[in-house]
Amino acid sequence: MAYGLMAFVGLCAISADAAMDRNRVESFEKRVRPLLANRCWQCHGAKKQQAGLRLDSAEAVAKGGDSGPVVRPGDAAGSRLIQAVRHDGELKMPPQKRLRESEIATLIEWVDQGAGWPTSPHPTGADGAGLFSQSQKSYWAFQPIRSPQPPVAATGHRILSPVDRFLIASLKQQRLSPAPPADKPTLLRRVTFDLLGLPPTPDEIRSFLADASPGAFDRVVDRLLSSPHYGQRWGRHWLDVARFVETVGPSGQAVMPSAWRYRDYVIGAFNADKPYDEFVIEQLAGDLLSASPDQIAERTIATGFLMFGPKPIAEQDKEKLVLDLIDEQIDVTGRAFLGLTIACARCHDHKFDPIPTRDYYSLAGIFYSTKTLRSRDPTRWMEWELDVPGRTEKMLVLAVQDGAPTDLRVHIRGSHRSLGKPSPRRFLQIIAGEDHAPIASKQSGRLELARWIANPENPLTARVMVNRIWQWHFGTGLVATSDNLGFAGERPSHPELLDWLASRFIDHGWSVKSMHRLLLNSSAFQMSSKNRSRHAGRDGHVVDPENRLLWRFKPRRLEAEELRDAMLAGSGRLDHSAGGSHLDYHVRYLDGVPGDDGLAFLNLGGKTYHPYYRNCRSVYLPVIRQRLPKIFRRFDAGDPNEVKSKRTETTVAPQALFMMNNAFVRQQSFHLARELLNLRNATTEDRLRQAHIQLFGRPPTAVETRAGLDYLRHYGEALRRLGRSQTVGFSTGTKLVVTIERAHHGFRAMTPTIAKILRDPSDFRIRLSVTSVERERAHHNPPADWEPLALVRASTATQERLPIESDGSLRIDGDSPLPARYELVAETDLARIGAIRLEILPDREQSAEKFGRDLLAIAEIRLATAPRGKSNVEMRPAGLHNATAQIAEDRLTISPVIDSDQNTNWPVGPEGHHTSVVILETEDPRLAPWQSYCRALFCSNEFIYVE
Amino acid sequence: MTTLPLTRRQLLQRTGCGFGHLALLGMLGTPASCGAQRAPAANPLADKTPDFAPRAKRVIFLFMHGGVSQVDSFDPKPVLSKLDGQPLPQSWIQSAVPFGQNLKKDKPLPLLRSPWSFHPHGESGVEVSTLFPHIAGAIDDICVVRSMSHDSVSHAPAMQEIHTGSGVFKRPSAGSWILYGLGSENQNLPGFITICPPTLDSGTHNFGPAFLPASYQGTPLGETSGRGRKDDARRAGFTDLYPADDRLLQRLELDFVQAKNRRHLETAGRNTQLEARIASFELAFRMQAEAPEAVDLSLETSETLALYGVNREPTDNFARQCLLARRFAERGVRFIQATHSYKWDQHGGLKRLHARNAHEVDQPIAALLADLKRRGLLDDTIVLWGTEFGRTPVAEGQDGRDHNPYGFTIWLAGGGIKGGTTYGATDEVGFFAVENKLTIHDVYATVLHLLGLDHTSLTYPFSGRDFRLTDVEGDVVRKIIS
Repeated sequence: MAYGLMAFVGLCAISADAAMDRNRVESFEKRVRPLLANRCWQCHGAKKQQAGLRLDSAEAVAKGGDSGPVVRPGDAAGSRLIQAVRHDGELKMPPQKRLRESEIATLIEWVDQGAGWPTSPHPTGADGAGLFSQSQKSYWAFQPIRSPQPPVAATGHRILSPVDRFLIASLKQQRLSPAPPADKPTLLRRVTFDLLGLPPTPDEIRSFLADASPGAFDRVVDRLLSSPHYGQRWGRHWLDVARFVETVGPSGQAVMPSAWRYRDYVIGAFNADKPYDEFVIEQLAGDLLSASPDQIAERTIATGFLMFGPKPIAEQDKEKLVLDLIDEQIDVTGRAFLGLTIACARCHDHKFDPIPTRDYYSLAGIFYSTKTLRSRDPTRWMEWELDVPGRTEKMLVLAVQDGAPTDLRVHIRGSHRSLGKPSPRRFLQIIAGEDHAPIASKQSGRLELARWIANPENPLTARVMVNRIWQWHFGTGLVATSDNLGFAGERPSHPELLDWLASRFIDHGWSVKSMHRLLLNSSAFQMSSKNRSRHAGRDGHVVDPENRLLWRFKPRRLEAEELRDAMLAGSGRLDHSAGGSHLDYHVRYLDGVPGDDGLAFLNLGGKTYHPYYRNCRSVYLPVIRQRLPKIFRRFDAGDPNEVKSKRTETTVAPQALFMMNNAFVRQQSFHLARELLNLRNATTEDRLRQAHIQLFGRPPTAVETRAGLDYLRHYGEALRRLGRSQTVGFSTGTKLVVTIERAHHGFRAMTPTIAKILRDPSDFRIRLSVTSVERERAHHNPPADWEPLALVRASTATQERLPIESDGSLRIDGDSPLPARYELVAETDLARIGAIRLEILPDREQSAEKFGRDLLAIAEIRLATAPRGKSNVEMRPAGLHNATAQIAEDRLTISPVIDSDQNTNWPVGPEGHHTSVVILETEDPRLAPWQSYCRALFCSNEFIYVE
Repeated sequence: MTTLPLTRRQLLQRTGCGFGHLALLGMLGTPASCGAQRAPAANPLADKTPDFAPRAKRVIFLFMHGGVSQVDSFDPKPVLSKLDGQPLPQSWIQSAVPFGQNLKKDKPLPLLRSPWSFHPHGESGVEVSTLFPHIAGAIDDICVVRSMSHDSVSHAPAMQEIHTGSGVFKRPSAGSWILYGLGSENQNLPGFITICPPTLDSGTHNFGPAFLPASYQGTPLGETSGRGRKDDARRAGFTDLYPADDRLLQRLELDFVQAKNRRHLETAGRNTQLEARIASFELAFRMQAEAPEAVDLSLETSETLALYGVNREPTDNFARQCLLARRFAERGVRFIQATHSYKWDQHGGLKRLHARNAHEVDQPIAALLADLKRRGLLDDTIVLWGTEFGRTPVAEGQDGRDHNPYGFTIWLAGGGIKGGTTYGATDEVGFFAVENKLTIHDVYATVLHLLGLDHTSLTYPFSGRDFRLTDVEGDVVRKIIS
């Protein structure tokens, strides 16, 4: 079975017996039933009934044996069954071998708790003539959606929305009361992150705090819902469900260069409040809808939804490969829209849910009749060129197309070599009815399937989506297993509320934004998140530690994307531009990814790319399977190989290390510090205040202001004690000037191979990176801590400016006359530079070996550094005895280590070509304490949690 | 040998700052009261005294993801060879056990003999197949348990079952429970490290704390997605270990962060996430001193590297994991897991792929046992080798086996385990565990016992009742203890 087919499948099935809670049922199915089966049924089961006793059904146990009942529910000590298994009377059962103590304890516990006996669903319909058993048919999630009346709430509670009536009713049952309202700054920060994934701006805070009129919060919600950032946040939620990714996988890294169009489609759909039923239909069958000319592209792109699963590229058996792709499509369709793990029924009837294998192959027929693969060439797998009316050029799209309608037969045990009964294309029988009419279409049937899913009568679709919307607002869904509403999933905590929301969702035209308004304008969303003991009433954290009843708002840690975006927003560096792709359009195959752990460059087939050069919103960063940027992996962004609408939240030391030491955090602290220092006519207190408002959405308290002032002073003193006075030495923020001098004999006088390279119009790139890691560590430390420097200026010896590439590198054009000297200027906020790395990379795909050899032939590189504390002086060559040169992947990497005490030259290749490094001190010396202070605020719990 | 935890004095020296931080240091190293009530100490990870004298101090869990076939590795079945190709007799199927529909409904599936032969090894003469020649050489240190069973038939719940004891509910991982029970011997490294954990099949839940305080979360080192890449372990390192500026300045900054976080915690009320995050910053600070060296395999001799098979294919990836596990073990990390990626799921291609997988892990695992032994660490380290379920003795296709949770094999070594022995048995063809059946609860009850903990009193109150790693089950298997 392909991995990931059954992410969460429990073994037990829940009873129709409402009296037994889930824990008890699990306990019974896991312990009691197997125990009875293994140790008792041999003599007291279907075949034999020693002493007239059977122990294999509720009725039989209640009836007892020849001498009457053997179980007295609630009274283990008085039950003959227990006496017998204890071997403490005359009757000793089982006669041969006494049960283990733990087994006896299990039976005692079971009897003491009432000897409940859940009815187990039998996927094959064991209890009747039909395909499904009564308990399957009556399972809650398959029942029509009801529209119950909200309960009448007790007085004394703040009711803002009908939602609150449902919640308060269940809190009352547990004698719990909801938390008081959150304060305004907390609420604004909460709702802004919730809808935009960004913190509120100082202006927004000011205006909300000043607005005491009724409806102030509603207006905030309206403002946020009309922001383009809303779709970037909520679209990302959906991209988790759709397992969006931009490479083919599972392990190969062929790029899907037009995958981004689907991302833009999703973001646009949320921003436009596209009705959810339409959204569903477009993603499954947008290409089959009749469309006006301006809808064609959008509706075709939407079907990219079916294309993102990991592709078993290596599979040699073509038919199996196709069936594996279809399996993944069934899996994502089932989980994303219906909350069912349909793909479990590929080899056998679903073990828990009433999904016979025939249903699986009915759906498989629909996808079999759909074209997914275009070519066996992994770089041209699935994308094709669409004619778009009104456009002269064709558009490359990642989308399915209809193929020849085909019905499949059941594949016995999932093997296409062993065929069983025919299974005409149709839907799930448990919902659509047993033996409902097959799809009578000349098309694949995708459109019919999509319409069946998006039909208001479908009991699952609306429930699944409102449950997810709830989860994304409140942290946990009303059904906690939000991707599985089947038997192995959990039961809803508030079934009536779930139905009420689902029916309202449908009635309001499947509007997601309308659902947001309903949920956010509730007192439940606006409660405080503080976990305090109550003076009156019961403590929520004792009675309901998981907060399933919502007695307070559940605080949450920022998700990975939010964390990155919030730091960029806090430092003022966030690039708000939207849409498009940051993967190079022409890149087709991502071969060697250097081991720089996401912070440095990904090498995309000769092109290079650095995720953090772009300060765009995280949702627009490329999603490369198995190579998510480090910040995403550290902070639980999940694996794009899997449909997963709920992120986990871990708390581990590597996250703290990231915050303390990672260059990204340090850089944002640097920029924020600089911005604070640039405030005009501001006192230190003003700056502290601004920092708090930008990061926490509130001004500092008096204690915090004092703590801040003290901190800045102590830090300055510590710098002085370390001999780092504020006016001399490397201060935070350095300018780095690298000069590269051409070899005396010039590039051109090289071997024919080099000449050939240089004939290429775009020859190579030069890129700088630095690290603070000290010499001895850098020696055997993997280059994980290298951070790239974007060049801010590049010029020739004659001060002619050279254009900087968008990724911060300099491109050297081999065809133009080469200047004798380059000067490259970059800035770093590092206080201490342990090493500088210069990379020369080919600009086009070239043989790595040839490139390296040729490069070594032409370059002699020397570096020089300044002694500490001197600035703007002529540098002497220094400290390169630990330098290493590596030709790896397809680049030459030179990693000299700066050490001002040494005076060693390090030549490579023929003489005459130099690189020298000059370090200048340029920044405001006050920066260091402020940078540290800003990072401390970024590290704080208040920053990283939404309360 | 084991690195001792830092004394307060050493810590002060090492961090290079004064007594202004004593408030924080209070979080360290206070031995907590022992026994049934493990009240959260000021430092939840402080080294705790066990309930009784332990045989072992730590656990290394070597996990083979996908499902290793017992009848091809550690559970010899001569009858299976004899009956090769014949249908599994219906009478052998225990109808009481719920299992895959196919066995009953379809035409009876043919039994498939093992392509590997079994031979006795060591002084004990325990039989191991030719799949694992290196491990076979260490068999006198190993107790093979051939009667494992549970009833989760698919990967995700089975993974959870093995890691947490529950295939259905989100329960704390065994490593989290053990860390909760014993704390960590080394305050400069996480007490529970999982090397290259899989991102799929219950993912982080396999090393998550569930309802235990979040500080008992396992810390991942690297990760494995799907079947993994051969450089996963090479790439697995703690990163961001180097402060960009002086440690003294960093300490100053961190003190400011923590003071702010504690003030914040007071207003937020009880919240183990916030507490755990405060503790994680302290641990991170201390890790900077020790973690770089702990994961630096270049400090190993070439003899050791060769012993494990580092820098050689196909062993390099898992060899690195095993060697890291040993380095963590000698530094006092309480629970260490190394996962061999999701490769063992041979519904087809059994012969070729089980062989390939075994090649990747056999030498590294044997090397780990030998290396622990020569360093005197095997005496107090339990090595647990396991998989989420076994495979069926009947064939799937021509050359494959389906999932089989009803009878499979794990093994244990070191830390008070009786080596050169076997425990329990499956039926004649290796389908169902029939003799001395064990569940993972029994295994963990035994592991906790060896660690000096009574599994019935290691409890945590949650949602109105006291939870245990072993739920209400589990018996200490005294016969496998030396």
